[in-house]
Amino acid sequence: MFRPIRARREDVTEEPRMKRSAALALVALGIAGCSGGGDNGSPLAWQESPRLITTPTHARVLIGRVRNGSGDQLVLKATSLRLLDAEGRRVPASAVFLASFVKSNFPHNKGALNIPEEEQLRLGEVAKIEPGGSAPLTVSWREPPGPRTAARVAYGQGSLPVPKAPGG
Amino acid sequence: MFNGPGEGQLSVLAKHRSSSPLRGLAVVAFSAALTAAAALVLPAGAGAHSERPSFFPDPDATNCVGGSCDFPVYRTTGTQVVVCQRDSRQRIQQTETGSLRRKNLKLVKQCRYHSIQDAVNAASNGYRIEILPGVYTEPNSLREPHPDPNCSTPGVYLTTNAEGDSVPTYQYQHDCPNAQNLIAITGDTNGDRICDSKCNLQIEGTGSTPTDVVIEGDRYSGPTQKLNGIRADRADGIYLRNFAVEYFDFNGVYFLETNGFRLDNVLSRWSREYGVLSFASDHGIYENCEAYGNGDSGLYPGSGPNARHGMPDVYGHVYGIEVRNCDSHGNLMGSSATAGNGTWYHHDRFHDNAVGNVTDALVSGHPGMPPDFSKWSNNLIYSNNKPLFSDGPIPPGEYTDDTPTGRDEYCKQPPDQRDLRVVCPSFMVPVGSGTVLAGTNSDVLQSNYYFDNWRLGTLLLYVPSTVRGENDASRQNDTSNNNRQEGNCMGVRPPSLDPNQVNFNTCSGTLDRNGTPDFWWDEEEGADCPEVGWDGKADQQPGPCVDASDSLGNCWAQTGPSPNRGFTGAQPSSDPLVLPDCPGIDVPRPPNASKSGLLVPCVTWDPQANTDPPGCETPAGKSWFDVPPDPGP
Repeated sequence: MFRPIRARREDVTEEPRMKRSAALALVALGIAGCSGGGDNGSPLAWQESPRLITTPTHARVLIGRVRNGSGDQLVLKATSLRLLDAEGRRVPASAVFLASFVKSNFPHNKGALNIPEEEQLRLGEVAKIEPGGSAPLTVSWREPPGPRTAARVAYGQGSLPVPKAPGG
Repeated sequence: MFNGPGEGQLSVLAKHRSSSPLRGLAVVAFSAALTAAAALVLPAGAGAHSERPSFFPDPDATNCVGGSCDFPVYRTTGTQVVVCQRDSRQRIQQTETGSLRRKNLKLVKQCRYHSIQDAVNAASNGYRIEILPGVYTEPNSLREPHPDPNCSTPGVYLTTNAEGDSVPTYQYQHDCPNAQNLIAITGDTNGDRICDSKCNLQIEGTGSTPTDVVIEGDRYSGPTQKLNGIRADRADGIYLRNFAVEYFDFNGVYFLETNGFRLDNVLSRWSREYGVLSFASDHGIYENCEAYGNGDSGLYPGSGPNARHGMPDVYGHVYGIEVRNCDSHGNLMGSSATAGNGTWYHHDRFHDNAVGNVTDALVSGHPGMPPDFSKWSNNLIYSNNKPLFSDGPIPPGEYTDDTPTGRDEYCKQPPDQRDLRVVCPSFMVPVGSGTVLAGTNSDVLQSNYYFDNWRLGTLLLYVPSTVRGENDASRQNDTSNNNRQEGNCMGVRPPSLDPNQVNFNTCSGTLDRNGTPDFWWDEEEGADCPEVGWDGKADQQPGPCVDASDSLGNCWAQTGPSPNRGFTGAQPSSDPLVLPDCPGIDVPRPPNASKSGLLVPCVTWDPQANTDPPGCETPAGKSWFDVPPDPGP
C-alpha cells in the first residue's frame, strides 16, 4: 500500500553554494576581477553568434549565451545592462538571463516583494557565472526609427556586439 | 501537538530536488505561485506567501474515517448544528417562500452559533453544519493576529527554509487556525497527515442561492485581511455547499493535503489571487461552482494527483480531481494549475477571462512535476479577451472592473488602495487565448468548443526542466510530449451556452472566429521520460531519462473518428501550417527558436516598471498585453 513518503533532510540536495566573491559587493553590474577572456580584453563574450529575431512590430529579440572569460566569478544583474546605439546613446530595452519562458513564484499584484536570491537566479534577473562558464542572455527592444540602431549591450566593463541583421 | 520528522524542514522555495528515486512523492515544498502564506519573518513590505512542504495523499487509501477516501457524497443524515446571524430570520422572511422558508424558520430555532468557526470547533466527525442566510465576517477570527505569538515556537510552529525565511507548519494552522484563515478546518491531530478529527464535515448554506450566505473578508487590503476564507487542511471528506466567499488575499477556498473533498454550488469571487485552490489533494470535485473577479485564476487544482498516470485507483477513478459544471469568468485565468496532474475538466464554461485555461511546469517547488494526464473535454472556452493590461491614464470617476483603459496605472497602486473588485493581474499572460499548455505531457483537449478568443485557440509549448528545479541534463527536454488535441470545434459558437445542452459530438453553430491561429505550437517534441506512478510509487523513473518509444507524440487529429474541425467542417488554422496528425511523431525535436524566442521577453514584465516589454509576442506581431482585434464572424 502506498504511503506518503516523508522527505528527509538528507534527501534534499542543495546546489553547491556559489562562492562568495567580491562580485556580490558590486552594486550595478557586479564583475569580480577583469582578467580578460572576452573581446577587447573584457570578461564577457558571446559564446556563439547570438540570434536576432525581428517582428512585425519592429521589436528585436537578441538571444545568445555569454561566456565568462575571466578568472573570477561574475555576478550580473539584468537591469544593469544597457543597450546602446553606435554613438553610445541608450536604447530602451529589457534583458533577462534566460533562454526560455519562466514564471515567478511570487505574484506581481501584491506590491513590493523581497525576492530570494535563488528565485532571482531562476527568473534570470541575476546571473552568476563561474570562470569559463556561460549563461543565456535575452535582450529585447523596439528599434527606434532613424539611425539609432542598437549596436551593443554594455555591462559596465565592456560590451557585447549586436548583430546588424536578423538571424544567427 | 506533533512535529513529525522532517516536517517543515524543507525549503519552501527550494528548487533542490531529492536525489531519491522517491522524490516525486517525498514532495519538496511548494511555494508560492502558489506562494501561499506570508513568510512570517519577512521584513515589512515583503508580500510573498510560502506554504509548508506538502505531500500527496494515497489514492488507494481506505483508512479514512468512515472506511472510504473516495469522493464525498452529500448527506442528509448525521449530527446537525446550525449557525445564524441576528438578521437571519428577517432575511428568510423577506426573501424565501414555501417549504424552504418553513424549513429555514424551523432551523432558526435550532441556531446555537453565530460563528461558523465556532460551529467547526464544536463539530466531530461527520457533523453537518447548516448556515442560515446572512453575512459572516467572523469577528473573533479577525482579532487573531498573524504571526500569532501563541504559535511562535521555532521548530514546532515555524521553520526556516533555505532562504532563511520562516514558514508556518501544519501545527501552526492547527493550533492557531485563524491567524491566516477566517475559517479553518484542520483534521489531523497525530501528525500522520490523515484526518482523524473533524473529518467528513458537511458545511452548507441553507439559502435559495449561494449569495444568501456570504463569507466575507476585507474588500481593501489591511491589517485584518485574511489570506484564506476557508482552509480545509488534512480535512478528508469535507463537503462545502451553497454559499459565497469573497474578498480574500490568497484563496477564497483552500484545500490542502486533503483526501476527499467536494465543492458544490459555491461562488468564490474577488480574491487577490485564487477563487478556489486545491493542492496536493485527491478525490476532489469542484462542481456547479462559479468563480469570478480573481487576480490569478478562478479555479486552481494545482499539484494535482500524480500517482495514477492514466491508470484507475482502487476506487476506479483515472482522474483524482474533477472540475465539472463550473462557470469561471472575469478572472485573469479561468483555471490554472501548475503541476496539474490527473484532473478532468468537463462541462465547464471558461469565458471572459484574459485567458481561459493554463496548466504549466513554469514554477519551481510544486510537487508532481512535470504535469501530465489531465483532460479537458466538453467545455465551452470562449471570449477570453479581458483587457487586464490596458494602457493610458486612470480615467476620471470611479474605476471599475469594466473600465477599458488605465488598468496598468490602476494596478500600480499599493494593494491597500485598490478595490478587490477590480482585477489586477498576478502574472503576465497572452490575453485572448483559449487554453495554454506549458510543459505538459499526455494531456488531452477533446471535443471542446473554442470560439471568440481573439489571439488564438490553444497554445502548446515546452518548458525546460531547470525552470522547475530539475537540473538532470537528461531531462531538460522532458516536457511537451504526447499531448493530444482532437474533436475540438474551433471558431464556432454553439446554439446554447449551457454545456449540458450542447452536442459536443458535432461542430455546429454560428461562425465566431478565434484569432489566427486556432492552434499554436512551438514545434518542440519532448522526450518521453517514463513516470513510474503506480507500482513504484515514484513520479519519475530513477536514473537518467531514456526516451520511451511509445509511438506517441503531440498531435492534432485531422483524420480518424474525431478530427478537430472549424466552421462547416473547415480545417482549423494552425502555426505551423502543418501539424502532426494523431498519434503524432515520436521523435524528440527542439522548439522553433524564432517562435520560442519571442516568449522570453515576457518574463521581464513588471507591473511597476515594465508593463509592455518589447518582443513579448505570440504569434509574432501580437503583444501579449494588447487585446487583439476581434477577428469577427
